[in-house]
Amino acid sequence: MGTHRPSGGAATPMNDRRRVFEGLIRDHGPDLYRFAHWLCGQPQVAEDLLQETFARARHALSSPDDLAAARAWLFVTLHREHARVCERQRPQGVDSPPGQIPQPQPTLDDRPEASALRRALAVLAPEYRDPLLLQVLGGLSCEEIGAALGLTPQTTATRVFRARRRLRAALGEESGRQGDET
Amino acid sequence: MNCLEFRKALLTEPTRQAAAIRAHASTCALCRQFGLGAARLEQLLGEVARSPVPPGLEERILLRAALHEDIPPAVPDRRRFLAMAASVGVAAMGALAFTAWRQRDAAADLLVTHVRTDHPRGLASASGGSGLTESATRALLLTSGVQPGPLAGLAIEDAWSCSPLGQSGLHLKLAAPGGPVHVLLCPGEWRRSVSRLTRDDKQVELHPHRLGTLALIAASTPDLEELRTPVLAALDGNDNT
Repeated sequence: MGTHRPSGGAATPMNDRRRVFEGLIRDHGPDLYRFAHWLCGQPQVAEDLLQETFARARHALSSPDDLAAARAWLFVTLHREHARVCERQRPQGVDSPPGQIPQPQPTLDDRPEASALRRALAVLAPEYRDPLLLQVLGGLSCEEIGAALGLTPQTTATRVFRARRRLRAALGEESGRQGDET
Repeated sequence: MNCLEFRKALLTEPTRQAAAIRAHASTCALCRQFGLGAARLEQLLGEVARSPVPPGLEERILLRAALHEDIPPAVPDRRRFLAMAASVGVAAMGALAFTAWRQRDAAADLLVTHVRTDHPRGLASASGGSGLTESATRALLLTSGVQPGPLAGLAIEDAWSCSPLGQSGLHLKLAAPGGPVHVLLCPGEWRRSVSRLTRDDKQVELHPHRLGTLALIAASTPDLEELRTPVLAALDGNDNT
């Protein structure tokens, strides 16, 4: 996470808060948006999730101690917000579908292996994909992911391991059977 | 680190134990090959997962934040909570005061209307219309629950039972230089302090009384001021003068 230095204007608490907030958006906004987009598959919903997450961050993150753990907090908050939205929209008695495929965007990498990996990631079950994305995009450790998702670190590690193994399989790589059981 | 641990580490947290991973890869050709594939997956995964971000995203978030800059947080802090509580308290007191004022206002209106319209055949009329005897007045006051004090000096023209505010009370009509003064004892009307109001051509004084409210109604203020003390003394039996 980058540091956020005042860049002019009166050094009031309000201005400081604003600069800190702008720094949070600049440093974490893009990866948070990508995470949201993988979770819901729709650009507009992803942006709504991001707006809601930062709206919560404005009131929750203010001290330097908060900022030190801001990235993990933001990713976990966005994931919970997505779960809350899904829970509200899901008809009773119907399970949520596995990962929705994000709508195609014009500037995506169109190399065959990139396309194959994108498809594999999109159809990966959320229980595997979410921990993997929290690690790849959010930089969270297995302990942090487990705490956020209500899993033990061992279970989290197993899910991340299996997610990567499936992606390797989609790319035609060896699955590394010696390491199947974690 | 053995081969199994090497592969677990690469597929679980590849950025952790980097030194141990490199060390094992340098000693095992199969694992080195596995590691190359894992590194390619990580690079490609990082690129694929980092899909393009729509233009203007940061500005839109900042715009929304700016729009909500002055909106207080949803959970009030202690000072804000106390301020809110004080505001609610002041508003409630204001509403109560307004309600009490409206009720007082309504009582005065009813009493003036009663004085204008309610003139039944009273004791004075029954006894010849020249004023009540002290014993007759005392008897009437007793029937109304009033233990009267000395009535000397009060020229009572007429007296009768009435119910101007819904409950049976007492109506005295006193002779005074500026015209008749009406004294009404209203048991159902309770108040804490004296209030003075004007209704059209009538002056109204409302006094707290141990049996309810005592109303003095006349055309002019001086009459009320002169009669207030002896009337209260008479009706309260010198208890509340």
